[in-house]
Amino acid sequence: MRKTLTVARHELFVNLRRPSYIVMTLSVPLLGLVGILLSVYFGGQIAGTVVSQFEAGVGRPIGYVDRSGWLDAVGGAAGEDVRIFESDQDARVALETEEISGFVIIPEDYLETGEVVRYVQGKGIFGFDELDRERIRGFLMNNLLENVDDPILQSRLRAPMHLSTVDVTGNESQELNPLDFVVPYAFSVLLIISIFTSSGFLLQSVAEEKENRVVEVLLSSLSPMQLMTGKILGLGVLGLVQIVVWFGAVWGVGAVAAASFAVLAGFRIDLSVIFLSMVYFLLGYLLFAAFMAAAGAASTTLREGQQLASIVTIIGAIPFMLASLFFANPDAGIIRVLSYFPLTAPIMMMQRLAIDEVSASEIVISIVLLVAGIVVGVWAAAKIFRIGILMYGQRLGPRQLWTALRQA
Amino acid sequence: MSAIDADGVTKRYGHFEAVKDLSFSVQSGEIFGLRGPNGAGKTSTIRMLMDIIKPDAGRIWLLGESPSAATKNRIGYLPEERGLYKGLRVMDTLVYLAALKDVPRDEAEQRAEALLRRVNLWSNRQDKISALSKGMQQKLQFVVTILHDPDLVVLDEPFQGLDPINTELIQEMIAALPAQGKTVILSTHMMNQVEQLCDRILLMDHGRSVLYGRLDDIKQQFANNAVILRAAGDFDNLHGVRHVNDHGRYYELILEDEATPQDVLRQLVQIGTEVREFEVAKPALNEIFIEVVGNELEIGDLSPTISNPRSPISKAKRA
Repeated sequence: MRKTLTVARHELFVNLRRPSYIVMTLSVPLLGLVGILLSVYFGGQIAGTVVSQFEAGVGRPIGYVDRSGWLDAVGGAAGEDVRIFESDQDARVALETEEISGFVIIPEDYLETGEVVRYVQGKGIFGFDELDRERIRGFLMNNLLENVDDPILQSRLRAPMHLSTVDVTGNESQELNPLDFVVPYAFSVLLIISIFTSSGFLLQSVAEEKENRVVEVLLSSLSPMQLMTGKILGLGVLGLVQIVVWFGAVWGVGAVAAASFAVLAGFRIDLSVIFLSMVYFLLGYLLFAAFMAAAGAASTTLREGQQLASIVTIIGAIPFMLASLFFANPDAGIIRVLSYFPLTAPIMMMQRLAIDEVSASEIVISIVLLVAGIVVGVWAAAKIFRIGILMYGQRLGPRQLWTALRQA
Repeated sequence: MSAIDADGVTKRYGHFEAVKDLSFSVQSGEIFGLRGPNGAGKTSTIRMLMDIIKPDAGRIWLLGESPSAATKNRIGYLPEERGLYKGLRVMDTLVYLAALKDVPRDEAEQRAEALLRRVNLWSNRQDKISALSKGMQQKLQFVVTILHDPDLVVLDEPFQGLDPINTELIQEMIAALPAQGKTVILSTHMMNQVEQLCDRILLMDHGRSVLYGRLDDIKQQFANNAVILRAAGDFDNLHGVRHVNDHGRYYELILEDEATPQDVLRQLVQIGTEVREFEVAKPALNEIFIEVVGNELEIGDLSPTISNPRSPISKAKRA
């Protein structure tokens, strides 16, 4: 055990210093922080611009030209926000001299069609158009309601409904905050990246030791199983370190973001989802690490090992390929099957946990199958590792792999 | 006492028998030569000694017990092809590989300092291994092998990539190991090093032992009854001399079966010959190797050894 731990410690500290690992581990929190800072800085500037334009628009009335004669007929009068013009030309001059923010032509057949045309200078900006539209709508609504005597009916016409939704189970349904699934989903993606990063380092480590013949020296000191176990342990801890850094960053950046954006203030990540995600991370890492160790041992070079390992990583990444189906229907049959199948379960289940309610029985089935897959995977990897690690200059072919698996 | 006892050891890979019914022993405190052409089964034999692979038949006793995890700490192994982490620093490599032999860090650093100074690599202790020359890496590999003070040292081509000065340095260090109670197995294509260092040898071919025993006995076994003579005169009429080969700078006197070199030397003194050099002709190990393995040896297996042009075997081959 001591030698296994020595290998684990060595792998951990050597890979902690790898530039690619450092860059990847630090880039996530840095990108998050930069994103928040940019949002705070530029977000404030954009909001300021919009508000100033709102204020400028609100300060000026909107004009209208009534060709239908209907507004006069119902006694509609212009208020401070609205000015009546006799002709299109008068309204156009008022617009050009910025007395009004725009004007509306109400055609002869307005009552039949509801069609009106608004004239403005230049392009409107997001939000400002909406404000103008509401003023016109309010003005027309007030005129129309002058023909309705019943105040209750008037009130209902102004606000036809106050909608509330109730779940058939009897609970009041809460409106879904997009952050409720975006953040856990993003976090599950980070965990998956960490699985592939750590197991990728394992492949690299095995292939390099085989390529530069260090393995011969190592195996004069410890058994192939001790070597493989030490590597899996050390690089597993490496992945955990990465996740802890990312967790800390999400926590810290989240706190900064919550202080800056009101929409984030009430957001909380479900701890049970985090716990289950960590379980799937560890199990997923063990499964992929076993395959990577076998791929490294069965190949003669790192490149060959990567080609061999890609068979497994492509299968593992199928859940990403089915992302659109997953978002459209997280309960689809194929999605459920993939969350049970050991090679795809870590990724698929982490994603399902992020956005869907998954029953306990499904989680148990998925974990049991995953553990069974790990047992078989590690058993096979150990056999291939033991045979392949000392074979130089030739890759283990299908027949040799089969022979290795059958050997005691 | 034996450091190694191998009895009827066989190793198969599928239908291929890499080692066939091999038996030999290595005495404690001796330097034992292991030779053979490529594919002779040396690597499989060494790996079985290291407990990296298990024999399919037969038994091995290593330092008095079966090869196991426990015996691994008592063995130092220098593989034929250098095995070092190119991206690691010298001292980090030594400390890590020593830790795998259960040597504490402080102790490893102390021993490393002494050994690195001995092989003139102390100033490179913080260098990355990729920055070292091939010769320096080979010296470092040797330091790795003996850093944990092993009882048994297995050296597979320890002189590869070394210049003559460093070859001599490593040769001196190997020669000093038996005096420290260490047993050495030396596998090398450099026959002159084997001849200078080894007490006994095992020559393998096609997985079998084809020569095994004391080096002097083996040489005697392959020697023709001949002497090498540097002197002026006519030697055809000497009693007991069957034939004289004139090689220009020296003569080779082929003796009758019953004649001895002493008889010839006595006659030379009696007739007043001025003898500049008189030597009993013995074949070089390389020539014995070629003769034994001979016809089955591929060109690529021929070792870059210094051959002895005076050897009867050499001449027989050339003829």
